[in-house]
Amino acid sequence: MKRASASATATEAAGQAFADVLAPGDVVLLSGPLGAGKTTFVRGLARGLGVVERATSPTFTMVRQHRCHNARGIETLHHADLYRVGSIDEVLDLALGELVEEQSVAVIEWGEIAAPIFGVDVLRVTIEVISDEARRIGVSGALAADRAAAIARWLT
Amino acid sequence: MRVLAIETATTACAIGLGDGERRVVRLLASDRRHVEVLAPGIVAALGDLDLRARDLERIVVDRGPGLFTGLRVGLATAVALADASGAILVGVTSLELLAHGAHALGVRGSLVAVVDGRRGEVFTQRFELGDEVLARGEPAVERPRDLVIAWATNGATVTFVGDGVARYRADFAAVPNGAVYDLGVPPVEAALALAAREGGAVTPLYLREADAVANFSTRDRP
Repeated sequence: MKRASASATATEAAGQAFADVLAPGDVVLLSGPLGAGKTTFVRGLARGLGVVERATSPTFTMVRQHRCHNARGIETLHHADLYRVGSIDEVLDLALGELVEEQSVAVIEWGEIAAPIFGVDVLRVTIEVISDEARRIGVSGALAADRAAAIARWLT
Repeated sequence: MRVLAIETATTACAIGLGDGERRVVRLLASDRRHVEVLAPGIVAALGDLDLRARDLERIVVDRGPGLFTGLRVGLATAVALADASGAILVGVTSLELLAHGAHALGVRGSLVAVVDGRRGEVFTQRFELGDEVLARGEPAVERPRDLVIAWATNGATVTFVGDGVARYRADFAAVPNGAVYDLGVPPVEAALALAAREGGAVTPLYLREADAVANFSTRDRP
């Protein structure tokens, strides 16, 4: 289940379209090497969820909240980045898994480093670098099976 | 013995206060307002029994597993209050509170305590309820479906309790040899009853932490 992206613009569009896969309460673990376009993907996702302000990398703030305006019942996007997190205790302190129980979703860059904290029902989005510009964006995780139809639409 | 019990492992926040003769048990909130209601609730309960914090001899706190945000509030409050009052701190688990609570209400035989772990998993432990409550195995993280299939397959009579059962009620109710017992919040009455246990430092029980630490130490990033 992978979607090709030929440019940063296409990665942003893939993120925007991914909003249609999400439901309130979802946690997305977003991975890919530095420069792969994780924040670009989230910027698109934020637009897809109806966030008005621009999403920036939360590398130094760890978690940013964005107010959403959409018909999907998702009112808040929590955008987190664990790149600078030094210990599991810091991840626990963020209590990310519990932020998203009501009317919100969380997208966690580098979330895979602490994956067991978030439970099994998560979506994993992985961005592979194919060339300077080209990327391949894959979706997996236990929750992907429940969202198979929406993910199939996102892939095409 | 003058005992305060604090329960914040689920979406509910409850306290118990007893002085050996009188006892108050209060559900302060059921909607994750732990930080807002806990300290004022304790102050009010102490006032109702004409006690002050320094009169407390023991503070029993649920250390999980359960809702991380709730546990933080409960443990921080318990530790601070114990520090200030000189009371002995006693940690109990949410799973054993459910087992002891069910036992006090007359449940006997095999019992599985199930606390909602969110995102497709539950925290669980098996107990044997006879004259006493005996733990069988350690607390663990499991998928509810795996737990249900295991019990339906082994065919032994069992009772399920906890808010994890409430969340996956249809799954647990489908176990032909299983009964669902309506006890969602780990009962503070059980915490009060366990106050005589050995006290000491109390740390939260998250259960997922160990796997995450292993994951963290092998992380692959530049």
